[in-house]
Amino acid sequence: MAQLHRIKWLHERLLKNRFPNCRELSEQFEISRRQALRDVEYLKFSLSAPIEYSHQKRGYFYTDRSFSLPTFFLTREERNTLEYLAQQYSVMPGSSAKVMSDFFQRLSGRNTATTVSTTSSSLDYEEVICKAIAYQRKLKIVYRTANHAIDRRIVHPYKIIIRKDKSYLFAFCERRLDFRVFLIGRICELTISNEQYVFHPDFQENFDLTNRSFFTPQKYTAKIAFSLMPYLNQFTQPTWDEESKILTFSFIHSENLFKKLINLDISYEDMFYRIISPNWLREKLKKKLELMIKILNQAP
Amino acid sequence: MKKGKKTMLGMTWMSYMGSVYGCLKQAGMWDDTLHNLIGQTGMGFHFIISDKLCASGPTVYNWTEEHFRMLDRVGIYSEQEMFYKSSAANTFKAAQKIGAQKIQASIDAGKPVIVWGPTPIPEFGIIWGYDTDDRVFFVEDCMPAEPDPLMYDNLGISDVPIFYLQFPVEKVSYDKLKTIRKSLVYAVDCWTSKVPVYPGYAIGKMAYDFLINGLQQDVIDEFGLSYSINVYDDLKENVRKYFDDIRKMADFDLINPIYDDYVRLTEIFHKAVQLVPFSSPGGEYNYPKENFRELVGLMTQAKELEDRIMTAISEKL
Repeated sequence: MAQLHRIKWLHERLLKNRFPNCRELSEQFEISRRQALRDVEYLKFSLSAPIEYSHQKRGYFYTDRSFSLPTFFLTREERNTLEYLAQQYSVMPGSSAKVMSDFFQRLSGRNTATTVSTTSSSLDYEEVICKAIAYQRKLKIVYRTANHAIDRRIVHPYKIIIRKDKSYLFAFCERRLDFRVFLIGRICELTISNEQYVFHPDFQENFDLTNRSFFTPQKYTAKIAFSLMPYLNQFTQPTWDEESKILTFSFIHSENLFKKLINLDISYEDMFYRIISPNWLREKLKKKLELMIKILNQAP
Repeated sequence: MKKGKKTMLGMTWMSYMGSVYGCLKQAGMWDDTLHNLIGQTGMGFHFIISDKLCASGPTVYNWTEEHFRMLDRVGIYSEQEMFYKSSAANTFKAAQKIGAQKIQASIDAGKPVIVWGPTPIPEFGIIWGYDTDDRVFFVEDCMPAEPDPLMYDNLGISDVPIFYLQFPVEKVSYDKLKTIRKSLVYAVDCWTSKVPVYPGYAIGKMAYDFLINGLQQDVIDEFGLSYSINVYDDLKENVRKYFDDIRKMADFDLINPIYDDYVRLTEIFHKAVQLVPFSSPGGEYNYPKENFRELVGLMTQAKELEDRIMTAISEKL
């Protein structure tokens, strides 16, 4: 509790308008200037003391001398608990949750939300991931690959899959623009981002494919020429070639792709698209549309 | 380059037989009915039940051995490619490549191919065509909607990881009466088998014991139960039609004495199906408990009746 003594000393001198500074603090307690500065910052940011530096007086002063120190200081466990609460609230929607998160964060004495790191167990990760899934928050993960390489990804967490007593995260990876499965035991660091994600339209078919078996078959690749660049986020692994105006992407079920294509906004003048490959996809869509027209024409 | 002629499966719950029927018909190797194919091959006499009433029951047997013999009974020489846990094997890519070459050769010769799991449905199906530009096989499964094709690279990859292909190679003439008799010998063999097909999977009379015992457990795989009962209801109905055909043959009086009993057996299975109607793998299954008790009664009757039928056939063979 040495820091407590230093904070109290600092506080008393500030109340008496003695303009204490880091040099005095370091000399008084035989600590480094850096440590002294951290104490001042702790008082200012963690305890929210109205403290400012006066260049004229070369020392700190209270802008509001009615400030009082909290009546107790926290143990490390208590700080961790508060920080945990801050983290829990941070992913919840609404301004009240944000206020609560900031409040617990301040109480914990740390300025920014910390990362859940390797010291945490897989169960801790799962809890954090569940929260992120519940509030559709992106996750920043540091992941150890099967080859022991360290990989950093931003993912959109969708589901936790349990397979043979191991937990996996099924997520959309922003780097790969595709769905991926991460073994939770290989996640080294995990941070919930404030950014929300939007459900990818191909989520369900990709999840079904992965959830059935990890011997995942390859997906089909399609090339479609568009007169205008479509909204790429609705496709999986999209690559847009501006020169040829060709979109290359992957898909799993032609039925889902047809729904997507039929729902494209074609109200623009000169809007068209043409399936370049595969041949079977073009023929199947054509057959389907012909059948639909036939049915529509038959309708009374 | 695109090749092949669309081929549909025969309408039966036993996807293997549906696939065989479709392929043989397309290849001009079978000109009789589906029920006679199911009867003559012997598949109609399969009654395999898992002790956990799992849906895998009807497809758990020695595929290569049984499928070869089944087609042999109807004068079809066939070749097969099969191995387990396919995509984990070192030689998987080589198997895919050779499998693809054989499929193309078979289709070029006008003979579609029987395949395991050509779509996400864990059932047998048919490969009836291919497109070398798209690198896909055109397939058919047991569902009515036209499935997406199977990529060359996904050949042999399915949820139940078995790489299986069967090629009908050549048709030879065969003695139909002899085949009918062989099918009945096979029926009696299946019925009296004292050996589980695989651990936890019984065939014939013993399978009824597995079924009745399974129905009295606290936890029941309702999807598996419903699927199995529906498959065997369909098979028994096909065998009834097969028996109806062969009892009319002038020089074959073996079936007449047991035919009425077999009709009763199929009626029992029709009732059983009503107690456990099929939804879908992901469907809602919540049958009333009294249905299971009623089913135990029906299956006990079915076992006694089928035992009487098989004993009568056995004595006359």
